[in-house]
Amino acid sequence: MRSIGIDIGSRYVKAVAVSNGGDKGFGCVPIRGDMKASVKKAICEAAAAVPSSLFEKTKYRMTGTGHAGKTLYPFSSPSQCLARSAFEFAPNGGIIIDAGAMVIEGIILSHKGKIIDTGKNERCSAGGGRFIEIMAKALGVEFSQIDSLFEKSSNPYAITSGCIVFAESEIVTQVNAGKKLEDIVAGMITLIAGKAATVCDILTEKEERPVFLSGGLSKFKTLQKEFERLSGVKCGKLSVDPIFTSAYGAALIARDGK
Amino acid sequence: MIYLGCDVGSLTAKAALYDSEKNQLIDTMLIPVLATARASSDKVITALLEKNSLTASRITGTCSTGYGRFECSLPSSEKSEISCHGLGAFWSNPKVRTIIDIGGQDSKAMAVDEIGMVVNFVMNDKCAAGTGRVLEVLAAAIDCSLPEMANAALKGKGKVSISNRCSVFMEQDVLLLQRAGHSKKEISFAINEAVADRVKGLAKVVGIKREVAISGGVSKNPAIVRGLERKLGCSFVKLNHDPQLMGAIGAALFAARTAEGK
Amino acid sequence: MDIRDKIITTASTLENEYVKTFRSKGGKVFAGVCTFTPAEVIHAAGALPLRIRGTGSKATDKAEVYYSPTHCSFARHTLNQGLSGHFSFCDGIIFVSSCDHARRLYDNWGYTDSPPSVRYMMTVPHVGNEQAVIKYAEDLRRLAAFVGEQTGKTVTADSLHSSIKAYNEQRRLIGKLYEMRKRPHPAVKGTTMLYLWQTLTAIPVEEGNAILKELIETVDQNPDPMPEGAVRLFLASTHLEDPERMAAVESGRALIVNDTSCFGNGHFSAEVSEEGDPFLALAQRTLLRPSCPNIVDGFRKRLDNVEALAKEWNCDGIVFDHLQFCTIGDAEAYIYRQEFTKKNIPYISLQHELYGGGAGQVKTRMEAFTEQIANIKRNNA
Repeated sequence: MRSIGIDIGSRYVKAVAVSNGGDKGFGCVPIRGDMKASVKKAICEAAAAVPSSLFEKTKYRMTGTGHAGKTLYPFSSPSQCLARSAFEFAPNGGIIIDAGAMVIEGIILSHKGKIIDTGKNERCSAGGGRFIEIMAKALGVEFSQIDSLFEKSSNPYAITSGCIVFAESEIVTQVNAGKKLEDIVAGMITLIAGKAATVCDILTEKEERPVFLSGGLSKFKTLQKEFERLSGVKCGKLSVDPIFTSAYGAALIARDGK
Repeated sequence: MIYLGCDVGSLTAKAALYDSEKNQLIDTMLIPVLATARASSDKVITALLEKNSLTASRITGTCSTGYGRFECSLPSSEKSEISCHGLGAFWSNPKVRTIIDIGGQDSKAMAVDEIGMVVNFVMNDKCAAGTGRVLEVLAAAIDCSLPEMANAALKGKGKVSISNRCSVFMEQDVLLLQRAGHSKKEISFAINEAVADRVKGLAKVVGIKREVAISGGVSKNPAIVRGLERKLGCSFVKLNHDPQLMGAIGAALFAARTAEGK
Repeated sequence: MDIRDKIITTASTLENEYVKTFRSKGGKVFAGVCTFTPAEVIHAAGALPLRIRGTGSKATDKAEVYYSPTHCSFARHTLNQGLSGHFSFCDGIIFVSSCDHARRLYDNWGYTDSPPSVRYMMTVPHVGNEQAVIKYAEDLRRLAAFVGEQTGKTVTADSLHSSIKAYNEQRRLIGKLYEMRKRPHPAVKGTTMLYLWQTLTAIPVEEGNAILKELIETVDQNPDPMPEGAVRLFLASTHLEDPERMAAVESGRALIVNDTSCFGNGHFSAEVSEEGDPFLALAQRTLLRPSCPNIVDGFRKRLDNVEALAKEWNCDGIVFDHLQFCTIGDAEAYIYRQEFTKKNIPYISLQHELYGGGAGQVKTRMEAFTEQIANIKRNNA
């Protein structure tokens, strides 16, 4: 039996296919124009690694914030999917901090897999992946260079502007003034890690539990390290690529009915 | 006598050559900025001089403005972009008394007196949502060039609106509207309305005294212009020169005024 | 070393050399958040009054667990410093109910049990009438009793009078310095004054008075450099403590020659009467002089005071620079604009985060403001 979870984000569709036997398949497709076509493509990519027989019906579950009201499949909220996914790698409960494109969101999960509480960084968008995207573009830096640039930095620049647009011009001014690229990249990573650490602090104030970092931003090794340094916690390991945590949770909900 | 004005902003660098005897603009140049302000001013000035077969020794005086005004590649005096935009717009159309400038990263409104000198101004420094940058970001979100988005907006009827003023959240709203099936023209209209709303607030603080002109890169957006005219209840007069060059023109004029003691 | 260098060095850290020396002799340090906690009361109890600031604070991450990022950055930075243990050298801390953001500092400090553990909440008035003076005097008596208990030195009318005299001397010396700022070439500019205020509010008053005397002598002969074609400006501000911010405001031809900042003349102005009940005298002085925007019925007096001082110091324009997210400051800035526009007084309103950001934007605005003033003066000539 095959189940597929689809997470429609602001810019990408992520899909995860799981079989009852534990096989997994993944698909990640940027949304360009026709959302349905992007969804279909992501599903195909994920399904290719988890073939199913003609006689079995695939179960689907959808989540995300970028669906614009078009529920193509049965829907579960992003928090529910995140919680379900977390339960797989934290069966005794935990705190999962999801650092995605727009916001950093955390949930406290009980040992029964129930959501006890949630926390978010403020509604300001200078705390998500989009911030990194825009800054990296302004600096002419690829995502693949970010970790190595961070490691080179000896004097991270503290970005003061909260607004993305003003932060962009602030860093351009700093580059013009001769600040090193690696110091600005390090400042950028520290800023986001700090916001994630604040969400973590808010939640660990309420409950002491193992902490996991997920979402696209957590793929930056240096961001995870900075997060650990600022929050004082050691992150647990996820069992899937962090960008797929919500989609994986959706697939599990589709498979198990909860 | 030939004077040079240089305006290095966050997105573009502009230069203008002015002949004080004929009271005429000789030529202008606009380029995207380079990595540093100094490199930007050097490139735009060099290009403009070369195009007009001039050397720096023929320039009687230089004035620079914009965020990069202290990094001019030639020795120059400095003047705020507010004063330069004010004088530039006034010189381009002497009937102008209020100027609304919408640039890449900020927007401002200025009141000038009978000789084009600024006597009041207000600048948007709280929110980037009333600037050219947000239009760029949102045009990219709907896969449009800026002119395409402006033309689409002109056909919109205001069926949808964007309420969230943060540029990045506006981007998200725009993506959702697109996926919900709303037309490009309605989404474009909503984007332009949101930006025009922000700028209207500025203009009201400075006070509207006719005639009113609009300058800066965004003034080339007919949808923003029409929206602002509607919101302020007045028509804008035309500037006789490229509105994006008002800062550089004003700077050249100030260079002449300083040298000739006017 | 020029006395100005000494002032800058002392101001650059809260736990300065004077504080260390005072403590090494067994003295206790009491931090206060606001000008409504009179230093005289703490001094009379034998302690060193220290005005809290966010000096040295680089981030507000820890504080944002308890405050939203859209709360006042003075509250955030101060709490962040508190959570990081930067005030553990203080023996006590006195909070005030001046505004909601400041009031929450007391709650958050207690909730997180940040050092120092001796904490006191002082209710401060929000109106400036006679009944408020009487109530405020009572609150000051309670504060004195509390601090006296902590130090083991009871505050008496005599000891309080003595402290008032010392601080009045400081006020007179500051007054002298301000008079020297009336000169065509002002003796000190705004940035130097900010370093001075920060020093004076963090060292014993006796030492502060000695520094002031030396400074007055120095700048009388060797004033701060003045920009060519300086434009004299009045700074009406709430809390502004970053010298880099002040330097950005004073960029180009702008020169601050007087102010009503709460980390400035707003704190030091007006002497306390040395006659009668000293608690009542302190309450009267603090409440009945032109106040901070926290006093709801004091707007007209503040406005008139700003206008009068700006005129007396021959200022060409008024700058109001307040903390971002400060609703009290926002409202004040708005009404100031209406009123000064009616009176044709050049006015500019700025906002700042306690530390960092936007220097380029401020410099552009201040340059344009000084150009605007030059244009208006020429038109009026």
